[in-house]
Amino acid sequence: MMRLPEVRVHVPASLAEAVALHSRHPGALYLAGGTDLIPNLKHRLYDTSDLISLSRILPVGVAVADGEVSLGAGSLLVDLIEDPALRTHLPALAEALALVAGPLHRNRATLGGNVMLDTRCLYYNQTPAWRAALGHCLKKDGDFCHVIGSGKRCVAARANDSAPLLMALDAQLDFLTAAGPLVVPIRRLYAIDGRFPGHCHTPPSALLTGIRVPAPRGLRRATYRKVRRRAAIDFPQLGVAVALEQDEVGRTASLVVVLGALMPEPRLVKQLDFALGRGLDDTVIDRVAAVAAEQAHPQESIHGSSDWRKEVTAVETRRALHSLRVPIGR
Amino acid sequence: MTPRESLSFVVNGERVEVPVASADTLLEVLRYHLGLTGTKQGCDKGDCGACTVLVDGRPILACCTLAREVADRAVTTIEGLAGSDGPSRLQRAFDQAGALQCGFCQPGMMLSASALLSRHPRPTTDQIKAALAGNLCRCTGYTKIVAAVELAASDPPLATSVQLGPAADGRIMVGAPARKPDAIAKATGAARYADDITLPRMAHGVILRSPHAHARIVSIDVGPALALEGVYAAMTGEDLAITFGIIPWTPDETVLARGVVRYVGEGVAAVAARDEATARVAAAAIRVEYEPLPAVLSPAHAMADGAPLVHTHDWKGRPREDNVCKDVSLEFGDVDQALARAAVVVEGEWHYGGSTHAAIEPHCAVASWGPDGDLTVHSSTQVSHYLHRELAKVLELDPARVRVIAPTVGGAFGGKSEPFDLEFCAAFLARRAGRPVKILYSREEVFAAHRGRHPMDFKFSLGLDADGRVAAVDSDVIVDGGAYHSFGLVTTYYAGQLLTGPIGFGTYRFRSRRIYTNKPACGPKRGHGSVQPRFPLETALDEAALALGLDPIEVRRRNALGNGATTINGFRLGSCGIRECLDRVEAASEWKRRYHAMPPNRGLGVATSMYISGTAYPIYPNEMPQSGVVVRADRSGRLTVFSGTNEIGQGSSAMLAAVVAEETGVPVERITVVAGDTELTPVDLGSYSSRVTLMAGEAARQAGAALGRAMTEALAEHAGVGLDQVTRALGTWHAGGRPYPTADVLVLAETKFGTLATTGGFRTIRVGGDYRGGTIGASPAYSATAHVAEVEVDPDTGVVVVAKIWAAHDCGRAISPIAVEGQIEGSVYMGFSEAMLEGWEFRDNGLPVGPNLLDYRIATILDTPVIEAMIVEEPDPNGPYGAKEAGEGPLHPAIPAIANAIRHACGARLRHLPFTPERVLAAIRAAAANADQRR
Repeated sequence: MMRLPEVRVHVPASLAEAVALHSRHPGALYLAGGTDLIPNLKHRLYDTSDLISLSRILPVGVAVADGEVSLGAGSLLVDLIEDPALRTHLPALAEALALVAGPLHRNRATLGGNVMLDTRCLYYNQTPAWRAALGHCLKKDGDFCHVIGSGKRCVAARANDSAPLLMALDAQLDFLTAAGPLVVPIRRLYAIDGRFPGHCHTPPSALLTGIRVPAPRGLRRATYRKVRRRAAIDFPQLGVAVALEQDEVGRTASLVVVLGALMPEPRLVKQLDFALGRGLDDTVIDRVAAVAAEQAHPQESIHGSSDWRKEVTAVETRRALHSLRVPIGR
Repeated sequence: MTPRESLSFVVNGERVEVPVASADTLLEVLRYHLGLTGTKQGCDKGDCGACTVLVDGRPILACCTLAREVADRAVTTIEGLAGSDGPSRLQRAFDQAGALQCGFCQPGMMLSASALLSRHPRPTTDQIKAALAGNLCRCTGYTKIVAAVELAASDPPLATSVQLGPAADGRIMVGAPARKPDAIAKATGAARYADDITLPRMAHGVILRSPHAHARIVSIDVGPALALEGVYAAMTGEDLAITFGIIPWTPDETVLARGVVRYVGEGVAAVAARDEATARVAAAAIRVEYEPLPAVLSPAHAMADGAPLVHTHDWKGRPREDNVCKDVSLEFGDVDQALARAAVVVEGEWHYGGSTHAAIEPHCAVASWGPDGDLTVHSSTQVSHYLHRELAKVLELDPARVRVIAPTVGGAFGGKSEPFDLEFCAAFLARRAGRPVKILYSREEVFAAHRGRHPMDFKFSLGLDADGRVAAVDSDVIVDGGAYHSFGLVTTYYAGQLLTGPIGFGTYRFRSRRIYTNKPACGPKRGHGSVQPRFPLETALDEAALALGLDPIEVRRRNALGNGATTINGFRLGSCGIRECLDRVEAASEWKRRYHAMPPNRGLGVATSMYISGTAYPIYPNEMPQSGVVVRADRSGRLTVFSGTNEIGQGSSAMLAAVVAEETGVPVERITVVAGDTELTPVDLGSYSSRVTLMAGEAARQAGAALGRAMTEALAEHAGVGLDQVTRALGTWHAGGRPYPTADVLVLAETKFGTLATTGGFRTIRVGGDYRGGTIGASPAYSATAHVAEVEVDPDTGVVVVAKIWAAHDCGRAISPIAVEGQIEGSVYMGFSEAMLEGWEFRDNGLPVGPNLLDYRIATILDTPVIEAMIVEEPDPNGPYGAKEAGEGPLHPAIPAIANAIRHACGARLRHLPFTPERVLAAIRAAAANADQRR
């Protein structure tokens, strides 16, 4: 069977020790649930011989205070999905996390791991023999992107289900680094180039410890829709997250649409101001959907044709908005 | 050696200390350090769920968990589910419900179910499916798995007997719902699969594979590998020159490539080392210099003028001029005239994409040599006998010194039905290394071994008369063969020959050409060669019926062949229950009421098929029995049935036991089946072409009946009554008003006749058409199947949900109804999955797109439709008790039934497999454009 490469596993007793270990072993990788990291290591995607185990030190749990929902980065997806506080205050996140992979993954995978997930590509997430036969790629050991047929930028897909929704909700990420704590808005986390490391704007030593999401107020609601071929296990071919705030008569106060799994960076859809201050009728919804699709540039780094995923972007955006909107003039 | 640290954790309630390396996963520690081999390995990397164990009560993937991470935690494996009083209720429920076929995915499945039941003792069906969505099963269609969990969660006591209900028609065992004698071993993790075998001093072999689709091997240097510490032996293609192939007429393979590699993944060299990790490093150290050659990846390219030749010479050294490896043309009646006169003709091009078996157990072989030079190979094979022959041939051994043993096999579906490189390499390396050698394929290697469903391109025409009769079928088939023949000679015929029932044709012509390409060889996947042409036939029939305004079921009824019919190509159908199959699916789906009243975007579709119950003639010509069975009795009242059959999860051993129980009255609990061991068992040709129930079943019936006769005579004499005064029931015989336990009757028989051992054998029945090729596709008996599929189409995205499939299958006689249902359900699932999800696709350089179980998607429990299996019994004179096949036929109609249902739902006609959302959406648009044009 496919084995892991020779690695050293460090088991720090505290977060500070974990970060300190990383300083001593700069190429080290943090290991949380491992459901993605271990297969990737088996595929020899990382040139490291050091893993820093976080499973017993990462903060876990959900806290609601001061208008914020705080989530420990080490929280298992399965625990968050069932967490009463999360289901009350951020049901969309609980529902989105329930769509991650399969139940066996969710029983070990952590929220922090999902946020920091490496980007994915059909030319990258393969065995060393396969990648050698290919001649390697821009993301690993090569200088050519087989998806776009050039050598400029890696277009591996940001295929984590948590990212679009947390971006739509404007989550803040708490990292620990050797220099101290670091707060990064998730909207500024992901790079436009999918290469590892570097696919996130934080330094590799930065350890994600917590995720803070502004608690919804009034009629602010959110949803996440995932498109995949199978009803379980699969990564998304497309993820659409929408956060919508409407007043009591159905006028839109704010609207954020984020598209995932198309490119290395989830796409925060721009130019939606036309939808503000008015009711979300079918015409407006169709226009928002069209704008989202217009801004979607699906790369065939993962399964599903680019044209189809672009078209479905409009469909799923429309459906997301329909599921959220308050009837006009209620 | 890798440094190891002591790891302490609790496994199945017992604290263990075990030295582990940092890189050891929990799976490796459980299986290989602690001997808890009930935890299975299927996909290498967290895609299949076979390695599921509980950590602190939660099911997780042991292959994605570092062993170090479970320090001081409590791990439960399948071995820990049973209590001191035996298997748990859940394990027994899986057994009783018939959920265990090959059993390979089931330990993981049961641990997921166990965790569910601890939280939700009375789960809903949806909760069960959600909880098991990470555990892939390739055998069952998940139907009986859901039933098993529901049974476990219910109150009634579980059965303690094997037999769960009455037998059929006054028989004592045949037709009775029954547990499988080998199921509880699978449910408890006790069953031993090939990779569960560890022999003293055993080395591990790894095969180095080609990165090129086509290249000349300039040189190979295994020296750097042999120089590494812990490496025992190496070999290349030059070590074994003799060619082989499953079909004796087309031996175009060598164990490892010699001179030329013809697909990415072809073996070029192999090494054996002290452990698998060392062997992998050693394989990577082998230096191979290649000179890349232009490759042909599609039949179109391969058939073009001047295309590179996949084989420049055949196995006899004769130069080849093209890439056509077989070309068959047959015509029955005047097709052109019939098409010209037909009331409606549907014609066009269809494309059936390939697919692979994806059994959850990867291939594995363990070879060892005895001190006297005898070779023993344990292998996860469907064909012990053919492997035996080919090993002897290629290794140049006296066949009498070769023994092949098939241990429990974790699913096969045709993917393990010929010899593979690992069996030869393990044997050769074991001899060279002087120690046993195991080779276990990685999942990627399983994809390279392939032998899966051939892609086929059809130019197809079907003509209906005004009264809806099929006047003509004209089919031109291009078969994408891959780099070697495999069963290709047969496939080429099957692509045409097996299409001629249960729908009768007025005239028929086909041309079938199998083309070499630089891809892994295709071969027999469940429904070998005949699943593909069903797709154009049954969808064209639907289109033609629509044009004539005929109901799709009615048009099939009008063309249905009946008992005793002869097909246009000369195959005699002893029985053919297709009409009842159609009646059953029509009634169960409420077709008449619903077909014209479906809500928008919801549709129903019907399709039929027929399949062989074994090939009439053996693969290599001989006049000996195709299947032999020996039954011997011992004085405890126990019988042992020896049969060369391969139990691959389909239930052949249970079938043999049931047949012998029927004939002797000895209960199945007292019957041991020894199968698939070439030294212990008489020859059976193997578990392929749906031959086992008919052929081995008949052999067992004869052997059982012979023993039954001896028992009858002995008891009649002892009781002083006539032979007709002796009656038998399970466990007890009666004579002169007195009961006699079967054990006592066996003692009487042994006293009278001496040592009790009886034999039976199935001999070839001469059938088939009187023309060249007329015996290929000829079978002693043919099954018949009808499906109705119900789908819902999302017209905006093209996503199709297959909600339900009703499948009625005529198996002649269900010797074990639960097993037959399981075969129907598993077949329907497999057809559904390849229709909707599976794509066997390659990059331009010949690399498979994603040779793993994440990129190659097989349906999860959540994707799989509700499957309603219905058994139809139209006994066949050639089958034991009338039995015919059930394991392959029920796959065929799923694909066209779904396509027809999609057409019914939204007008979209699909002629290209698989039915991806992209293709469905395009077909919806094409249909709309056509409708606009007509307006």
